[in-house]
Parts: sequence; C-alpha cells; structure tokens
Amino acid sequence: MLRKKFFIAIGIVSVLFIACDKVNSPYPVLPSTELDYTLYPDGDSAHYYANYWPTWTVNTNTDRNVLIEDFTGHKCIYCPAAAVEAENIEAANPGRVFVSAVHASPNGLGAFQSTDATFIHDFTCPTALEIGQYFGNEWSGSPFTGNPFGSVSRYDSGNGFPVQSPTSWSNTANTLLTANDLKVNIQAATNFFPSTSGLFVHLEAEVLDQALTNELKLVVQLHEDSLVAPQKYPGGSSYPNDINDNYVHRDVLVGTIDGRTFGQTLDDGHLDGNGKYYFNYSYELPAQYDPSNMHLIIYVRDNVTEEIYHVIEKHFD
Amino acid sequence: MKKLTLGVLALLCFGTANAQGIESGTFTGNMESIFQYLRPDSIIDAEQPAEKGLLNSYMNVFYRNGGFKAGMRLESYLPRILGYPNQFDGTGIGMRYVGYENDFIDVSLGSIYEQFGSGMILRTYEDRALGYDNFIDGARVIVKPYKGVTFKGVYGYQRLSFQSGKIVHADGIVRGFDGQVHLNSVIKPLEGKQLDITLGGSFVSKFQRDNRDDLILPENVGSYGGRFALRYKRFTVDGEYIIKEQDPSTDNGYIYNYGHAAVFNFGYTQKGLGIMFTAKSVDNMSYRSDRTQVLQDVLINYLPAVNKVHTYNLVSSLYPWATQPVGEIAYQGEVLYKVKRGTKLGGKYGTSINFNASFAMRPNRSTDNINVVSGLHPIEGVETDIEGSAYSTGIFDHADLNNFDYVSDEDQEAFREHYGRDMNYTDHRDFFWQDINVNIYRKFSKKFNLRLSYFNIMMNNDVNKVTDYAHGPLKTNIGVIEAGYKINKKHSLRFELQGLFINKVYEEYDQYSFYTDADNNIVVTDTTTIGEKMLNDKGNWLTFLVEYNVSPHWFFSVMNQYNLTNAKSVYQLSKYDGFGEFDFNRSGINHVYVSVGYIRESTRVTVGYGRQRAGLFCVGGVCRVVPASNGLTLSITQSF
Repeated sequence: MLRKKFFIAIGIVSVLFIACDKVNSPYPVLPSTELDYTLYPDGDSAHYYANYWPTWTVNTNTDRNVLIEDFTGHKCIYCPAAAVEAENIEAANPGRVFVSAVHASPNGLGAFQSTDATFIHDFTCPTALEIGQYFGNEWSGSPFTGNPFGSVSRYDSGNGFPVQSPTSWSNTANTLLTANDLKVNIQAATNFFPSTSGLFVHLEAEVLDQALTNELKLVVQLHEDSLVAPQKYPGGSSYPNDINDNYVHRDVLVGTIDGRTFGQTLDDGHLDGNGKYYFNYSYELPAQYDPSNMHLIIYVRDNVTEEIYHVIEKHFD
Repeated sequence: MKKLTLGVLALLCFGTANAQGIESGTFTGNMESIFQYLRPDSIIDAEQPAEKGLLNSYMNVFYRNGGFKAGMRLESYLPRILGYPNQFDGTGIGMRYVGYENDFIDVSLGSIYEQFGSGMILRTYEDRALGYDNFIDGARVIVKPYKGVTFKGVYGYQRLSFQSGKIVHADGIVRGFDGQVHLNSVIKPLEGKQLDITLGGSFVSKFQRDNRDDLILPENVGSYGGRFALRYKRFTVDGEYIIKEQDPSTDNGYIYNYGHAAVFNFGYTQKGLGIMFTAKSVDNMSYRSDRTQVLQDVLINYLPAVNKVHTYNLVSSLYPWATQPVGEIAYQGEVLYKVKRGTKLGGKYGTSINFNASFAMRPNRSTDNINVVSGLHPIEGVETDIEGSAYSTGIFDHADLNNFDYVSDEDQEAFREHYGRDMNYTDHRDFFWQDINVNIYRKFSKKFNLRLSYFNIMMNNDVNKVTDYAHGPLKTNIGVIEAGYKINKKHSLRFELQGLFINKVYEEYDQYSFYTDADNNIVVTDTTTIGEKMLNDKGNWLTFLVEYNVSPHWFFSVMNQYNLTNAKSVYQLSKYDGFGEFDFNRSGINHVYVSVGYIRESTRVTVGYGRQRAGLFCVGGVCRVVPASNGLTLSITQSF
C-alpha cells in the first residue's frame, strides 16, 4: 500500500511541477510608435518637430488614382509586352496611374525570377514574393497561375478575383478613372537627410465614403526605378538569344518601409479628433540605393476585398 | 554531450574487449550506404548537383550485457542524397545512449525513442527513408511496480537537425509522464475474463521562452489525455483523447485556441473475415518543442494517418495524403474477406477481396461566438478575440460540405457550363481527401497468381500541396494489374501494369500577337483569351514493371513510368520556358529505371539506373518531396 501511494505521489508531483501556463490576455500594451531620431542629423525630436514636422492643410484632391501591379520576372519573355502595356496606360494618364513591378510568381520565387550567371540581379524582395504567393497559390482558384499577370487597383472587374490578365488592364483602368469614385484620400510629406540616409514619412488618410465598413490598411512601399539589367526578350535578329542585356527595369518594388506587406490598420490608435488618420515613419535607406531613383507608392487597401481605393506616388523631396 | 559520446564509445570498446575474449555481451546492428551519381535532364527538370555524386551512410551498433545496454549511430551525409531534408549534413555520431533495465526499472540516458499511447501526445522515432528523427536527448525512466502497471517519464531536448556532423537541439525542453494499467492483471475478479481492459493516461509539457514582443506567449504548454483498449472475443475497441492547451505557433498563426486529437478504432476478426473502422478528429494539434518550426521538424507528437498505405508506384507517390496537424476529421473503413477455397468464386486456393475507403475533411470552425477585434493580432490575416481565440469547434464537428456560399452564383454557373454538372462535395474547399479502393487476389495454380486493384482518389491540392500546376481537387482513377509466375523453385517473375487517369479542368490563357519594331520595342497587335479543357496537373500516367527473381541471390527489374503529358502542366511549363506556342499534343515522357540486386546472407547490394520522376515519399502520413532525377543509385545494406 505504501509503495502504491509513493508512486502515485511521484506522478502527481511531476505533473504539477511541469504544469502549463494560461494566458488570459495575449496582447501586451505596446508603447506608442516612436520615430528613430538618430536618423535626423541636426538635433533631437524636439528640433525635428519644430523644423520639419508637417502642418497639414485641407487635402484638395478629388481624383481617385489607379495602381497597376505588374507580376513579372526577368526571365519571362512575355513580360516586357505586359510592362509596355502598363507604361502606356501610365503615360496616357499622367499623375493618375502608377505602376508597381512586382517580381514574383504565383509561388513566390519562380523560374522567371531566379538568378543565374546571366540574370545576376535579384529583383525579388520578401514583400513582392509575399504578394505573389498571396494572390497566386494561396488564393483558392486564383487565375494568377503564371507571369505576366497583375492587378488594376486589385479591383474585381468581373472575374471574381482581385487580379487579372494584362489584356484587361486598359479596360479596367479606364473604368476606374472614368467612375473617379474617390472613397479614401491620402496626402504625404517626406523629409530625407542624405548624411544619415534617414527618411521621415508623414501621412494623412481620410475615409470619405462612410459606407466602407471593412477594415482598411495603409501600405507604404518603396520602389526603385530605371535599373538596367538583362531581361528575357523576344528579339528576333536584334536579340538572337532572346535576351536584352540593356533592358530598363521600371518601378521595381523593393519592399515596404515598415516591414508590413499588407499595411497598418486605420484604427482608433491613429485616429485624430478631426476624423482623419495619421501615420509617421522613419526609415534608413539601405546604402545600395540611389535616393534619386527611389520613390514611395502609398495606398489604402480594403482588407476583405483587397481593392485599393486610392494611391499616391511620393518622391524623396 | 561530448562526455556522453565518449562514455558510450568507451563502453562499446569495453564491450568489444569482453565480446572478443570473454563470455558475456552481445552486439547487434546494421548499416546502409546509398550513393547517387546524377545527370542533368531537362526533359524531366532534373538537375545535377555541383558535386555530381551524393552519399548517405549510417551504421547502428547496439550492445547488451545483462541489464546493461548501450547504442549509437554514426551518420554521414557527403552530401545528402537528392530530396533528403537539409537537416542532415556532415559526419558524426547522430544518436547514442546508455541504460540499465531489470524487471522493475528501466533507466536510459542519451537519445530516447519513446511513445505514449497511440503517439498523439508524444512519439519520438526515426525513419531513415523519410529523413525523420525527433528523439529526445535527455533521460527516461520506466518503472513497473506491479504486474500490469507501467509508469514512464521522459525529460530532454529534441533533435532538430544534424549539422556538420553534430546534433543540433530544438529551442524548447520536453517533459512527459505516462501511466498504463492492465486491469485484468491488477483486479483479481477480472483475471482470466474474456473482457480484457487496459487504461492509460499521459501528461506532456514543453518549455520555451517567450521570444516575441508583440504577444505574451505561454512558456509552458501542457497537453494531457487518456486512453482505453478493450478486447472481447473477436472484437477490439480502443480510443484516445488528447487536449492541448494554448500553444500559439507558426503552424496555427499564433492563435490561443486549445487543440484536441481523438482517435477511435473498432475491429472484428474471424476466419476469412476482418472488419476495421477508424475515426479521427484533430484540431490545432501541431505540437512542437519550438513554436517557430514548420514541416516535420521537432514534432513532439504523431497524428496517425487514417488512410490506407499504398505501395503501387502511381498510387503511393503522385497524390498521397499527408496528415494535417492543424486540423482534419477523417474516417476509414476496411473489409477483408476471403472466399473459401473449393468454391466457384474461391477457386482451388481461395480468393481474397479487400475493400477500403477513407475520407478527410476540414473541422467546422465557427466564429459565431468569437468577438473579433480587428487589427489586434500581429499576424496578417489572423483575427481573434481579446483572449486570442480565433474560432470554436468540437470533436468530430466537420465543415458543411453542402454549403457553397463561398462560391459566387456566377462562378457556380461557369462551373456548370464547363463541367456539365453542379458542384458536389468533392469540389468543396473543405473536403480534403477521398480514397475508395478495392483489390482482389487469386492464386490460380501453384505457379500463377493475379491481383486486380482499383483506386478512386481525390486529393485537395490547396490543403496538401503536391503540385504547382493545379488548384483544388485532383481526381484520379487508377487501375492496377499485378501477376506473379513461378517458373521453377528458383526462378520467378512478377509483372505490374498501372494506369492513372486524371480529371480535366477548364483553363483560360492569353495569346499575344506582337512584333519587335526597329527600335526593338515590343508592339502588341492583338491579344486573344483562349479557354479550353485540359487534363489536370501532369495528365495521365502508365507504369509497367517486370521483376525477375533468381532465389536466393539475384533480382532484376525494369520499370517504365510513361507520362502522356497532354496536360495543364504543359501549358504552365510553356509559360515558364517562354515558348511561344503551347504544344498540348507533345509526345509522352518515358521514365525508365533498371535495377539489379544481389543478396547474400544479411548483405544486400542494389544498383539502379535511370529516370525517376518528381513525387512525394510518405510514411504513415508524413511526407517528403523527392525531386526528379536521372542517374545511378548504388545501395549496400548489412545487418549483424
């Protein structure tokens, strides 16, 4: 009997000794986001606030802009044709249409995006691959099964998906531009300090259409423009190997400045008493980038339908 | 670690000295060496590694002397063979232990392989073919205080990988306790009764530091449950139910739901008849000693596969099912019937008929009682309430497979138009797996036997991704004819003919018309969207196999897997290759593989050469991807 009690006691003590934790509230109270003022070379936060913090005026914009996402790859021979299509639409609508070259396959990194001895430059980035995967293989039934493909403000133009073939881009862009239904307005201010490569970004977002009840997210992407590097290209006699060594890669998505591919929520934490949302960022531009070739693409997306309600482009002033 | 290894080596050397000259102690063990020389083959997308040659080797040595025991395994990957997980690299000691046991106690120190119950709460094991090894490096004590009563305790770190010839441990520590009682041995009135009862219970806990700033993570995660096994005459019933407490991880998107796993088995056997039924309910039961790990790494538990293990090439490796630890509800039934010999149906030697069916589907995850707070959770796309719960579900509560509300009316109409029928449960996103198969075996004479098999398999590629060329259900019908012919006492032949026929899917693609102008700009002149039905994924397959055995030493085999390729993958590959036109009628691809083997006592040498297509290799619902290859494989195994 004593032996039985002994073993039962050992069992109970062992279990109690290594018992489990119960977390009733998993979300810690985070300190408010603070900017990294070491990137401001002229002083401290108070100095920055006094000299550079923007004074917002009424946003007078009344147009809804359009973003064309071009899912592409440097080894994709059809992709230059799609890029031309996107650039033509952008050129025909200056200041209203912007392009983002997302180097990704439906599986993220695909054969078209891979590097080798000829295609040395890696145009992919974690943000682009995540977008590609999300709208490709992870989206059940997605028609994005290979490059080139893309989206026009991730607007569902009737195929049931936020992505569409390049052949539809022009029609969809025209539909959105003609309707010009501005549901969310955005304005931005930036300050770039070359000595520290420090970029400060201040954004204001205003929801104009109160019928929008889905969660909205603000995305700030970084793009690099006019990179010359090889591209698979249907060349005929000019490019016998179907490779254009001097192809100009435009508007290449290289990441987001806050590490959030799908953005920050327009929530109460960013809501001001005037009914508008405010976001502030600091970012150190990596040394490999030339600031004059860089720009930001800033947009607000619907977290349910994925539609991009408005987009602006901002250079480093 | 180093000290333990040296200790084991010293003990083995001591044992060797004894074994060579003196009476006591026994050595057993085995070894295997697999060498591959691979060639590039653009037709099947096979690559040649930079080293060209690859080598996997291992040797197990076990020593026993009275109650003392010790063992070790030397492993070598120079580098690992194609498709083997990247957790294996270098040469060194991959497993070692020492221990002592008698009738009362069993104590082990070192690499521990252990299982509590069915393994749903804890199972550490090794599968060389799969490249799976999750032993616990630490201590184990097994105590048997009474006849029919067993207590077990384990404590240690799991093996995560083997890098540069050294064991790398997981981040978290695992502690477990298990007890089992055979009631017929303990309770006197039950002794000798036909009703045989065994009861058991387990508790396992893992500890890992909270390494996130944006969440408060439970550092000690507990899991517990009970089990029973009854046997009465020809009937057996057993079951186990496990609960896992809050365990936010990469697998579950860092939600704080409890998890559960339940398995129940029923069996009936009599001469010529066997009936089996299994039901499994699993939700949020990925249980690892490192919450950030994925795939097959440092799993503490094992969730048994509830589907038949197939061996025919086209059935087992193209579209197999892998257990879904994040959640699945599965059922399997099987009937084995042997028609008596001497009857019209049974023939001279009797005929065996085996029918098996298994199904798997997603658990119902209701958010009705979850007060979701948007934007609260740091993981994109995951929504929870203030306590971190994302949904509620119950045991054997599966998704409604008749509800297609998630598909728009337009898409349902398009489906009808393209496929000529309404969507049914096999098209539902929450239906994972269906396998209905039957096989009939008959021996016609002492020399000739025949086995006919049919398999109807549906696998949801969105859940268990095996191919980049398909979305949703992959539906196949597979037929197999297998025949054996014994030429004489020493010589025999075996044939297999397999055919896999896959469903068709409707695909749309764009065709560009363009030219390059004088400035080398592309000018698109026209685009056309073309829609047509094509065979899903890689299309239909045929496999032919012939084996010739010369007993007891030699065997020879030739296998050809023939891919008809009039399929969706051709369209996709055309895109990826940048071809201008899609040749859907491209001729088939042969995958010929020839092998020769020699067996002498406990030594076996096998040489194989040829093409092997890409596929999955699965054992017990755990799978690894095997890329396409073309080349030579030499394998030597030896046991002693």
